[in-house]
Amino acid sequence: MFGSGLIKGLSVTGKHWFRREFTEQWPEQRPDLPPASQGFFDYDLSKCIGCGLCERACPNHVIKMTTEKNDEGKKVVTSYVMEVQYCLFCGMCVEACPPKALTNANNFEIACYHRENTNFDFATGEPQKLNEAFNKIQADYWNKKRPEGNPIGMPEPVKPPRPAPKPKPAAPAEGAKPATAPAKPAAPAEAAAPAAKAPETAADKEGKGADE
Amino acid sequence: MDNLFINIGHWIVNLVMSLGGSETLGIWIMRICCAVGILIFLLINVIILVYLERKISGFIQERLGPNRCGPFGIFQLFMDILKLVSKNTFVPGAADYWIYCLVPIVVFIPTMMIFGIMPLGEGMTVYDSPVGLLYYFAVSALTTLILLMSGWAANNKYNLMGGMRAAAQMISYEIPLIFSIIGIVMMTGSLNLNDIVYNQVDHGWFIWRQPLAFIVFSIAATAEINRNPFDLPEGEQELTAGYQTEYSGMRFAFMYLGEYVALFAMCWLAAVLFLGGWDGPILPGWLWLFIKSYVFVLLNMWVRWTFPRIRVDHMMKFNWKVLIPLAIANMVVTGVVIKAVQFLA
Repeated sequence: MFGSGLIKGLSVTGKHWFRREFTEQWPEQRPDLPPASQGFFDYDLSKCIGCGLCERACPNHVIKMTTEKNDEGKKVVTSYVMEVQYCLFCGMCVEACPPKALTNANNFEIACYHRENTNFDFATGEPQKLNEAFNKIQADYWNKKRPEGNPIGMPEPVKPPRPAPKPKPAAPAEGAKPATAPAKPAAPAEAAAPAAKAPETAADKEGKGADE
Repeated sequence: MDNLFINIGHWIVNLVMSLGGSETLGIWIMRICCAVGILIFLLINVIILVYLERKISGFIQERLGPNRCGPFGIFQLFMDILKLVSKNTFVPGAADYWIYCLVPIVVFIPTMMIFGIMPLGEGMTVYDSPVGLLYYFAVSALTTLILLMSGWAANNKYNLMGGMRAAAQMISYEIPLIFSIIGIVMMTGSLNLNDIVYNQVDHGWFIWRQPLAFIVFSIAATAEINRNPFDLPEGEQELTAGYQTEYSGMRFAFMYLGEYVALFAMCWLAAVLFLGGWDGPILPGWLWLFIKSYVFVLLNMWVRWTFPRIRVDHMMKFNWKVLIPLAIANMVVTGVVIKAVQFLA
């Protein structure tokens, strides 16, 4: 029948209208990620043999590791820094690792406010703690527990330090009326400069408009 | 409860008369109050409509829609308007300044004028015109001119193409829209919207007596207010935003809100013409009319989020080869049946 397709289409959208939504309300709701999902990295210092293959496999030179020989003549990792800001999460380092010391973790909540915070030293174990906290939240989500507060240890928003405010030469009101401030000869001149600029820009705009 | 607004109107007239004014003055002050009331009513409805549109589009796509700003996201539109207000009022250098600036202001006016003659409940018509239906289509046709103005004034190819498409589409679809209603006018014998509703109260709703007219009307009305699947004038994929392309900030907000007001006016007319206006049990008449118009709004949104956009030539072909013949056939059959009934009776 002519037009039956329209009815069918309406019935399809009508069904979808009352279906359960797919949207996950992060961070109140947590996603149930598959175990193989590629998020952050997990690093096992005891497994690492310090071969440096991950360092070489990395296309962006994200991984910087330093090693030294201990008394037994074995290589020991002293620091294992990842500059995650340059990482493209391709997973080549994970593939390259012979003893599977470097693995993928599920944790994707590694956003931070400052560039310095994107450098993680895996040898100290801090990133592992992040991952563990995330896994705990995941487990809680599976057990239908709602997380409270800031359990992941996400950095609190920090105001970037501002340069100390420069002492203002004079109020702009005084600049507009230079005659009222004869005692401070330098100040009106400085303050008058921006005031003098403003009409110029306005005139520029008008000129532009006229040209076009 | 049924006469709530009528009583308020009488109270205003009595108040003016008790303060020493004449009855004419009182009636005019009441009409001004009505105009302000309608404006507020329309703006509140636009808020509800935009919210509904977002929520319904979300639900149909199995999303949640706005849900962060306020309870269930009801303050999202206010935040959006706040953002648009804070934007720079920009006029493109090559635009025709006065017409460009005039369009967002006048885009509301036809719909405001329409609600002047629209029955808002039993006995609740601001100006009970004997040619209400004719007035409705005469005034709503002005919208075409406004969209064409915006298309021409902005001096942008997308605006121009959108405006031209809008003009072509709206003028074409006005023909089946009006032809479909002529059956109702013939059966009622009046162009007055109140008479049409009284006829439905007595003899049954026109959706049952004129089903073909209802189908033609709802399709043509969707095209007339430029909603999906007939949103060619603002087709995002090929025309960015059509006739709205060069508008930003508060001007864009007005264009956007104007569209929703037009949608609401059309749904209100459909409720008056086909769903028996204020006819309904228990609840007061104005509430019934409101509910019925929202039934049409929901239907329209459902259609919008279901169908893809129709192609330009198909749109024209569908109008001239399907809708207009159907409307004319409906007209002829209605006339024959009316005459036959008169002849037999």
